[in-house]
Amino acid sequence: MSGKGKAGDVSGFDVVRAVKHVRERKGSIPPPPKKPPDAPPEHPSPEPPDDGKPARSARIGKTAVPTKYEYVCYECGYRFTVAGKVRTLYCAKCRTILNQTDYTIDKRHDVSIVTAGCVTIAPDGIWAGGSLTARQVVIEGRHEAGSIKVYGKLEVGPGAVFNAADIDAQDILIRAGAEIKIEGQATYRDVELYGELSADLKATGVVSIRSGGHLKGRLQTGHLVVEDGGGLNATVVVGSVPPENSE
Amino acid sequence: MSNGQGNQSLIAADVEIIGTIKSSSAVRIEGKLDGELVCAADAVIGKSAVIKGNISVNSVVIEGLIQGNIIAKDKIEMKSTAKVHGDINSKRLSVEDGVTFIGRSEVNPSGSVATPPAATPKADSEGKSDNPGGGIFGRR
Repeated sequence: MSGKGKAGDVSGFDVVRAVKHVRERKGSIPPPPKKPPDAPPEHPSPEPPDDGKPARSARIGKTAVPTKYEYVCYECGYRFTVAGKVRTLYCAKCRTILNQTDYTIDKRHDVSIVTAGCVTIAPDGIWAGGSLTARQVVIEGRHEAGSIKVYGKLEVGPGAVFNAADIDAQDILIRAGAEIKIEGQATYRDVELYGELSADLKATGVVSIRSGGHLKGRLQTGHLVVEDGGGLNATVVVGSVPPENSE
Repeated sequence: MSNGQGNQSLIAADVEIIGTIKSSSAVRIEGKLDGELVCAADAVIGKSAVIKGNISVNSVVIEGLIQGNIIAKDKIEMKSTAKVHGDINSKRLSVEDGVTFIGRSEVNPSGSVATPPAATPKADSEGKSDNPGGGIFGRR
């Protein structure tokens, strides 16, 4: 490897160059036999006798594929994926250099943040104003004022206090131990419940109620998954609904 | 008719029953039932089954179509091919992706008392909820 990038950076060119380097290095791969096949071996080896075929060269058995991250440009709204971590993140459409810093709010905070990374409002943190735009937001503390826009997943932990009307998120995950009530209709794509949620919920993707999770209120979705141990006390409309109930 | 697997009774796919089925042993239904099913043991509603009526069982695995309310003492398991138009009441619930379910669910594994569903199947999508949500803020 070139040693220019971090430990997590993977470059295809570097991999090819590394394999070539290993193959060309002396001693790393046994050379093919030069003696006639009937000549006795000088040093007996535990390996099976050579049958004239060239020795197996080193080969790559597994290829490590870097994790793909989905980003949304907060300037133009373009959604794209990046394989692995990159030091400088450009929007694939408008070429804006995106801030991908992760933030942790552990005290009162009222300054706007725009990032393509993750923002965590710690249990002692208070989001007191300004706008927050991030790919992922974890709320364990308080959201008192200001708008929050989440392009990816909103995670809500136990003890979180937030105003759902000021939060625009694509997906939501309620962690175990959290008990959340949302007034009015809440619309998300994917919903994952490890804790308790009381809401008039409309989901365009999949609603997953894990073991220990509980949904109360109303639910309208196309796909519902309930694990054994999950609770559902709700008026439910799941799946493709015909206009009239066929007999 | 017994299928030879223990005490499980089988209603085959070409059988149509109008009336109430009462059984103390396990039941597997692949045919049509226009009436109630009362089973003290476990029941399996197969893929080809069509049931128009209420079901009262210990536990039930649903793969077919049910138009009626379901009360299970232990567990309701909906497979991906299941279509349920009615209310369900059980202690445990398992739902696979792909089901169609319209009705009211009362499933509370934590053990608090759940209200039994109404006697008539509720197939409209505009069912009323007695739990319209809560306060604006999430709370612990």
